[in-house]
Amino acid sequence: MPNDISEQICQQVKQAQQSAQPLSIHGSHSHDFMLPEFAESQQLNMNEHQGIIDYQPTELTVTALSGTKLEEIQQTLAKEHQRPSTDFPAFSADATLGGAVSIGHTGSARPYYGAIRDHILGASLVNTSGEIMHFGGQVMKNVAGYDVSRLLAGTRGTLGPILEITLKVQPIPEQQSTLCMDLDENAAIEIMNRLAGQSLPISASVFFDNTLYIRLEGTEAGIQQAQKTINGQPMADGVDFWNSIQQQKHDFFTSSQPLWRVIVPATTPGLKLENQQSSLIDWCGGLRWVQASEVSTADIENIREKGGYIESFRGSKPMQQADLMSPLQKQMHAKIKSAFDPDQLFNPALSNFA
Amino acid sequence: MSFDPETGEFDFPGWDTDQVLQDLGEFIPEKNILHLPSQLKPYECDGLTTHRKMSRLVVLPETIRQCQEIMRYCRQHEIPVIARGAGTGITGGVLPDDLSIVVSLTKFNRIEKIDPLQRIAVVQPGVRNLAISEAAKPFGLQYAPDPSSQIACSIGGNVAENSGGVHCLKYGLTVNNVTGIKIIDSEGELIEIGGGNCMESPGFDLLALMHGSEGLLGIIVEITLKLIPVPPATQVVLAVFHSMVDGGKSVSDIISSGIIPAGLEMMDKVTIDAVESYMQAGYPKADALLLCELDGNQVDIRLQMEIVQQILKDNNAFDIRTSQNDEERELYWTARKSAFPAVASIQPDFYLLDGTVPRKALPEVLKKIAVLSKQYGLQVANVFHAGDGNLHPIIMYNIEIDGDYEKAVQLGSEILQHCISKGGSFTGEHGVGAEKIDQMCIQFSALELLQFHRIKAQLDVSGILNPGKAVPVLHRCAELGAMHVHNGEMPHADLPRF
Repeated sequence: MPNDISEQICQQVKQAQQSAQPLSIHGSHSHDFMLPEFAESQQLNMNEHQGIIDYQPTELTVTALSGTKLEEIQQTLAKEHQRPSTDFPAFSADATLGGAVSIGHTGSARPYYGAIRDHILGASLVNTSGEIMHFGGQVMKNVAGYDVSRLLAGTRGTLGPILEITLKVQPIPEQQSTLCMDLDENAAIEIMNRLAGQSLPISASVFFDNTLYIRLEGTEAGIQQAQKTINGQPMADGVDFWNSIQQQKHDFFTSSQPLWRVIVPATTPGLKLENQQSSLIDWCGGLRWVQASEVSTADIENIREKGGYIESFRGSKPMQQADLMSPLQKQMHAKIKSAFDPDQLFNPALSNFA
Repeated sequence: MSFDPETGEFDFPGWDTDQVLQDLGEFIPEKNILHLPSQLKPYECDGLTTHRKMSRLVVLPETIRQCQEIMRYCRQHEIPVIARGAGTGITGGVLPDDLSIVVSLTKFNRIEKIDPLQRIAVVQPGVRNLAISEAAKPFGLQYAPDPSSQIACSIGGNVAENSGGVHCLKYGLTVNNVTGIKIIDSEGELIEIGGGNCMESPGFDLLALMHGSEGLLGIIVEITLKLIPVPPATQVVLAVFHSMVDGGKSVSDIISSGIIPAGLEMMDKVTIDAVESYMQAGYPKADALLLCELDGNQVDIRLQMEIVQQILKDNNAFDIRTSQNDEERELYWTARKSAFPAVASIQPDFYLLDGTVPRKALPEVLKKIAVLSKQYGLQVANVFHAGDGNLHPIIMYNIEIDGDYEKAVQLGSEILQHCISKGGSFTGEHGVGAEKIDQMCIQFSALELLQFHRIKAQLDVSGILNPGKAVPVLHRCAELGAMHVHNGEMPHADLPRF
């Protein structure tokens, strides 16, 4: 049974506004390591606000309270042979839907199935007066009003507590298979992009330690045909491999080295940061995970010139999103923040755009 | 104050045509400023031809710098700006008035880059939707969203409206296929939004916010698009039924089977007959017709086609035809895409709706439309993107008959209210514009509308970007609220209908 504590949450927001005490809005804390500290005087814990409130397999939609565990959503959908429409990274069994949307990072399926935001159909949000606003809905197409529900992806709770989210879901493909190819980095980057330009049932591609891993999902016949085209070595424990990437339990992610998240154009050749120890390429080349003791100004500049950016992820001082933006982008974020939270009530420490 | 950020109310001071003409001439070539009535005539409406107004000036900038200068000038003199693409929209989103300057982006018509390896295209906003897929075709790529006006509509307009099309069930809307844009904000600043050639950008999803914002938050001057591989094979199955309920049930059953068709379209008897007499596509006589397109590799299509055909048989389809070649497939689709002109050939005046409902509500909503149609004495044809639950009822009326148009609008409003009450929306892909602004008051609470106004007020402090469209002023909703209580009698008829 869903445990809907919307009223309690609204009440807490109202009190916070009256007493001018900012709130720290939290989910399961599974991403705290990458966030600047934001221990405000009052905590608003969204974990209790959990449960699936509507699931319509024939509509391909699920609506859940924001504190619902991703695991519960996956298990419920699996009973109907469905799943979320893209990969949701989950670093702990407690990871929540609201947390995943607020962080907005998507797993390995990103280039093939889209980002989390692509599959948000609707959301409800609490304003600074403790009132509930609904945006979007449960239908696939809806262009009435500004698209506030998708805007929420990546907001880290700074526009208000999200109460409820509707997601598009998809059928679980008949089969999954993983192919491996031994290649050097630049050849792998080119091949993953070439393959993505062909009509093949690829749903993820990762390069690590001179091996390119390609995940295929589809019908048995479709996969067999793709295997012939790609000509890689089948991997026996592919499912475990992809889980270890999504949950960051793979050896690469468990190293004690500081981990950096680099976003670049997918076809960018292999990066060599000054203090780089190791790297793992995801998103068909668009996301580079880099282990490095520290990052130099030259590295940052080099990545910016390519059109991308680098952010600290784990093991070094967390960065502000604002630090990655141009002055005009920062200004635009500050304006949106003011439109929703003029009194700086919601996670102000995560939104220093001014 | 000329613009109240809390309520969206505005009152601009007005301007002198000769003075503005002279001032714009300082930075825009004379030939790119239209001011004679004969020059302005084509800009008096978009595809919604029942709503027409003349503007006093239309400007056709050719460079981003010129756009910036226009914005700065208009901001300084509090002159409203209406950005316009190809003008194929059908909700009066670019309906001018004599207080605004229309900025037409048709000269921004270059495809700047196609990067086949990275599978992106960088284009200017005036590029036609179809031209992008044509340019990408030699690389085996395409741009997926395909609104039925794709031959003429501009990509900038697609972003402003977040356009859909017949293939968005599988490939998503415009918002799912654009990776970045450059806009000019109301201060004349050029801002990059979204990842562009990267798959992510830090911070809020401002790219989503800009999609479907109908020119109220900025002028789009460049777009980076995602290209996808052209599927190696495509096949369409056409099935006909003795009842819409059977057709609707087939739609749900196909989706439940785990197949996501590239397109899943339905038509009712009125439309089938109209299309058949319009272009003799060989459609059988029936009460409902379903088109289901499958794409992908040959093997998958064959397997999925067997499942789909079985579902159609189980739901009493009495004639099932499968396209045997591209020509036949094109014919099935051409007939579907001709639905609107076909209906127009039997009744020249029609009012087109764009409601969405959860798929499961389709049969009930169709029944309700039939009841309302009888009640109002106006015929309604139904064509819809069944897979998305996106209905396009076409209400037929005769403009020559006194009160017929008003009746059609009232019937449309009742249908859309019904869609909203079923958990749907009054617009799935056409947008709000000037025409459907009243329905915003039904779908959103004052609280939500207030939030929209606050967003607008932050990004457009002086309120000069396409004022009066897409988001109604709260005062207007309050008046309309009273209207619904009084059984459809419209009080305050003097209120401006934007």
